[in-house]
Amino acid sequence: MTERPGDDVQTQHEELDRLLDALGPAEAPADLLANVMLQVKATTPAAATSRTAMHEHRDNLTDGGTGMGKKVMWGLAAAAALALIVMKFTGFPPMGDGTEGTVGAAKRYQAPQMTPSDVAVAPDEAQAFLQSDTFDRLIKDEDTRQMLANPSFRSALASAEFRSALASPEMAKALSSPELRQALSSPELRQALSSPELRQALSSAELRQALASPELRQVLANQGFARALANPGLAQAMASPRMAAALASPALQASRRPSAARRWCRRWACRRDSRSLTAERRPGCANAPHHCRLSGWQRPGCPLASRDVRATPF
Amino acid sequence: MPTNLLPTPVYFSKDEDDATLIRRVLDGETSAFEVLVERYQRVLYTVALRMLGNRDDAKDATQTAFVRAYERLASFDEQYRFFSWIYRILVNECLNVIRGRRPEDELTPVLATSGGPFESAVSRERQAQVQAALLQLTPEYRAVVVLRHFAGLSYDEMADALGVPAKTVKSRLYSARQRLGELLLGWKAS
Repeated sequence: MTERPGDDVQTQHEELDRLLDALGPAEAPADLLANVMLQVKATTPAAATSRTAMHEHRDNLTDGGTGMGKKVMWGLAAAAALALIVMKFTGFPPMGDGTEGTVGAAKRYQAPQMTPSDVAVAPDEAQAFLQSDTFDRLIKDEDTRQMLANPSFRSALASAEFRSALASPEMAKALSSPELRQALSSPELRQALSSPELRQALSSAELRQALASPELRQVLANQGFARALANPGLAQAMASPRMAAALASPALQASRRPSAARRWCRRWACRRDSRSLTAERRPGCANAPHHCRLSGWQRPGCPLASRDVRATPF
Repeated sequence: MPTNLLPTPVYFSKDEDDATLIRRVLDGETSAFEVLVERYQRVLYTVALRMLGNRDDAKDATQTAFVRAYERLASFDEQYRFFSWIYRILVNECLNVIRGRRPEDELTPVLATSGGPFESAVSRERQAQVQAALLQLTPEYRAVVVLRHFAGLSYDEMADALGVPAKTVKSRLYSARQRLGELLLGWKAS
């Protein structure tokens, strides 16, 4: 509670009122009325103002006459939000002509992906054999490698008959049998490869057709391989009925199917899911390691393996 | 709060004809607005002068209040009294002027003069003290004191003019008077 000098609150308030009244009324400037009316006549007629303007004016008065009512602010906020939404979902307003391509993603070169049509599989039986899993297993066999490394066996391979026989996938399939591989490793068989009988047995039309393949000829042209074929043991084995039966076996026929050739071809074209690509990769060769290294054969239409084939010593 | 402090509304005339004048103005009779200006210019100018403490600012604020009232006369709600409405416009205009002032602006109390040189000197001194005390109040407190003592408005009319509840008006008026008593009469605040 306030403590006042006087003893009566009423008296104190009356004294304060007297002080305020002492200020008295102020006389308005003489030109106030004239100035107001001058401005009024230059102003838009009052009747032109709508009833809605009263509410806007009250908003204006409520916020201290800052000049912007709440409706105006909300209207601006709504317009800004609408503009942002339109820009987000439709992008900026479309530009006129002449601005196309001023800003855009760089066009980088992208090599076309290999398609099945890019892989040409010749109907040649020799190619089918060379691209089969049978040949793959045969060529990895240690006995076969030793046989192929034998000079006499390679000389036997140089004969025309034997080249014809090798061109036959059936005979190649038979070569994958353990018995034959064991026989081929013997000196007797290598000796037999140079015999006329063997050459006669190998002189079938199919083998001659196989030998017409330039790829097979490239393989057989290797001196070491040709000398291995000259082994009499191989010639004897090739002339045996077992060899003939093996050549006619269903498994050998299955290896000639185009699907097997296509699988091989795809592996050649760097399909990394093949198991054969993992173990014997040539240094610096990322494409077809074991084929590049061992076959010395280049598939027609397959550009990936060519450099590896030519670089691989046989 | 003492109840017998209502001042006599000596500055403005009765407003029973205000609505008629407004309708005439809205019908295109601009000269009718001149009657309204003549009726309220003195009290409005007094309020502006006590609020602002400067003759030029008070004159500009009063003129602006009249012109704005004319511009928005069609939106005037007849359920309110015209003077409450135009007081509201004027008070808000005065508050805008106060807010726009720089802190270094000095206010020279404007005082009425009457009587002889000695009486005039004493009166001027006393009036200067009262005006200075008014200007020390916050604008909100100053507004209620000015409207109460220099415009003679009731609590409800002040509430309409200030846009605040009547209870707020009473509270502000009490606090403002207490502050004036401390400044002018040496009342001691507890």
